[in-house]
Order: sequence, then structure tokens, then C-alpha cells
Amino acid sequence: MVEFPDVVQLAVPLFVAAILLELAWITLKQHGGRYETRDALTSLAMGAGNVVAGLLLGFVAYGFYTFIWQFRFFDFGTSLWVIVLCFILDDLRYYWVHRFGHRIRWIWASHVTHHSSQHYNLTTALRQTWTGTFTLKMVVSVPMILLGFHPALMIFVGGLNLIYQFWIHTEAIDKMPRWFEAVMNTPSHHRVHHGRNPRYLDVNYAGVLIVWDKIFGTFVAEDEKVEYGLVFNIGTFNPLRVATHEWVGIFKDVFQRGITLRDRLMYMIAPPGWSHDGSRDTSEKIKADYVVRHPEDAGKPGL
Amino acid sequence: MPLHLLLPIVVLGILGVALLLHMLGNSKRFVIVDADQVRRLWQRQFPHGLVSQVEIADDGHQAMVETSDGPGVVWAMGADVACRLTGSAGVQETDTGLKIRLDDYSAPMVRVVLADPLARQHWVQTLTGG
Repeated sequence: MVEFPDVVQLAVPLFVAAILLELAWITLKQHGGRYETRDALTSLAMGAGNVVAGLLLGFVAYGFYTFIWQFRFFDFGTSLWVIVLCFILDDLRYYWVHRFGHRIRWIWASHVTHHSSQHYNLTTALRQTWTGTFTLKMVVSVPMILLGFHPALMIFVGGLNLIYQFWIHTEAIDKMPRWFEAVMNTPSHHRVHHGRNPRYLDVNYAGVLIVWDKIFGTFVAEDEKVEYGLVFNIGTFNPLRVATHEWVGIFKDVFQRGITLRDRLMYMIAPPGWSHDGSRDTSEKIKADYVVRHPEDAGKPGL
Repeated sequence: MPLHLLLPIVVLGILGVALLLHMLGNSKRFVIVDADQVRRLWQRQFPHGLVSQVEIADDGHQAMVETSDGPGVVWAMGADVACRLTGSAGVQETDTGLKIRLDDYSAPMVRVVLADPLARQHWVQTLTGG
């Protein structure tokens, strides 16, 4: 029986301590980010809800992984090198799941929660989805499990990946050393990912290694002030609405009258902002419109 | 981690952080200073929308706009703002002003502080087209 600790649960006290540390830093230095009570409370409630959702629905993904494990080609075991290799390959998996999460509305409906704050601090890292299981994104793990990485190991390294991403949700750290910025995901790179600036939409999907964005052409460096939040910011702190608003939007769009079956499907799988009558803007349209208004920025990374 | 440990850490952690944030003065809501600021805030959300008229509520936490796309409302969301076209919103008078019920699950309601009955009437007429 392969067993690994639940590292995310173990890290909870560290998360709380780091938030207090960041808050103390911002309060004393009067820079390096900002906190707002209701926003932070909502983010923390989303984090707690995510843990509860994991306890209630975690068996779905794990059951699916265990089923797939029966059909594996190899069993790589759990040696240190296998763990390291699994961590790196899982980070590549994360890159693609994350990219799908921004480009397929069905998955975005879950991931949008994480981007719904107009703040960027360590509590934002904990503003996590309650509905991840419904996206069926677990299928992206199938190749690694079939190859021979045990499901328990996959969940373990996925937890490590999540913990790594916690500390990069801060404005208190400007830039890390150049070599680190070149290889690793950092606060600077991830601030860009959380930006609603047209140039910063749909870029920097990395979890731990920023090299994936550089390889797949989605990297943009931070060189203009980041405006955090959604293209269309929500107007509620209610955690239930934060968790479900995009699902409600999909439901309304799919079941409206007078559209074709293809339109209904597209409202689920097309990129966020797609509409059958062109009345909404996708990130491509937002970027194109921005260039029309700011021709001097044409050709800059991200546009 | 056993649940009997995890649960108090999570609950006390959340409550403790919230209390600390409040005591450190982080609960202040966004205050609208003038019409130009409202125009900038609106155009952040609706880059093509042209704002012709701005009315700011008594407490400075909400503003009504008349735009090329119809009437809308800008309001404080904590230290930030949210903006919506009001479209088919329902507007209701309250003891302190107005309650705007938006037809939007992600922004269901805005309370507006308006003491002057004439101002309330103007807001209602503009928002409902009445």
C-alpha cells in the first residue's frame, strides 16, 4: 500500500503564519500589498470550503485514478528520483490543466474563483474552487498514471505544487534573483497571471517552473502595473456566489431560447467571453481592441 | 492532520485574521471623490462606454451613471469597486435610500444612501427609465 502524507492539510498552520507575517510586513512598511477585511475573509472561506470539498468529493478523483492504475504500463515505484520526476511531469500537467482552465469555459467556471479577488496577497492563494471535481480535469492525469506513477504519488506531488504556489501570491516580494526568475514561477510572474490588463490576459500559466510558459509561448514579464481581478469583476463577497457564479452563467447561456445545439455546446467549451451573437468579448478581442486604442503598444508581449 | 486539530486551526485562523484586519483599519470602504474618478472606473470595466452624467450618493460609496449603453451603477466593493449596467434592475426605496436589485447572480444587490427624496426620485427615474 503506497501512502503519502496530506501535505496541504499539514501546511495549513504555515499558511496562517505566513499570512500574519505578510500582514505585519505590509502594516509596518506601508507598502508591498494591501489587505481588505471582507475580501480576505471571503478568500479564507473559499480555502476552507475547498478543503471540505476535497474531503467530500476527493474520492471521485482518487477512485478514477485507482481505476486507471489497473491498466498501467509500468510501476515506477516511489523512489526519490521517481518522486522528483513525477513532480516535474506533474508540473507540466498542471501547466496544461491551468491553460485549459483559462481557455475552456467549463473549467474556467471552477477556476474563476481563484481570480475573483481585486486584491493580490497570500489570502488570494487560498481563494480556491469548490467545484473542481465537476470539471473532470482529472482526465489530464491519465497519461502519467498509465505510464506508471502511482495515484497516491500523483496526489502527493500535486499537493507540493499547490504549496509552492502559495508564497508567490504576494506583492511584498518584488523580484527574486535573476537565475530564479528565469526558471521558477515567482511572485512577479504570477502577479502578471492575475492581471486583468489586456496584455496580461491568458499568460503565465506555470505552477512551479516558469519554463513551461517560455517553451509554449505564453510567457509575459511584469513590466507594467498589474490591475488585479476579472475582466468583469464580481460584485459580491458571498462565498457561495463566488464559487458558483460562472456555472450559473453557463446554465443561463446554455438554456436560453433560440440558439442552436452547437451554440449551446460552445457556451460550455469555448473560451470565456464567447457568445453566439458576438455581443461579448474574448481575451483575443479585448487585446485587439486595446491595440486599436493604444497602437503604440502593438507587438508587445501578450498583445 | 486529524480533523479535531485541523478544524480549530482553520476556524480560529480565519476569525483571527479577520479580526486583526478589522482592528488594523482594513475594513474601510472605497470612497468616490468626484465624477471624473467615476468615469475612469466605469471605463476600466466598459472601455467603450461613454459616461454622460454622474450622480454620487450621500456617503460616497455609490454612484449612478448615464452612459451610451444605458444607466449603470458604480459601488464600493470593500476597498475596490464594481460596476454594472442596471438594465432591468428593480429599484426599491428604503429608510436610508434605495435598494437596487440587479439581474446578475454575481452582483445581486446594491444599497444606495440617499437622504433627499428628490434625489431618490431622480435615481429611480433614471435607473428604471420611468
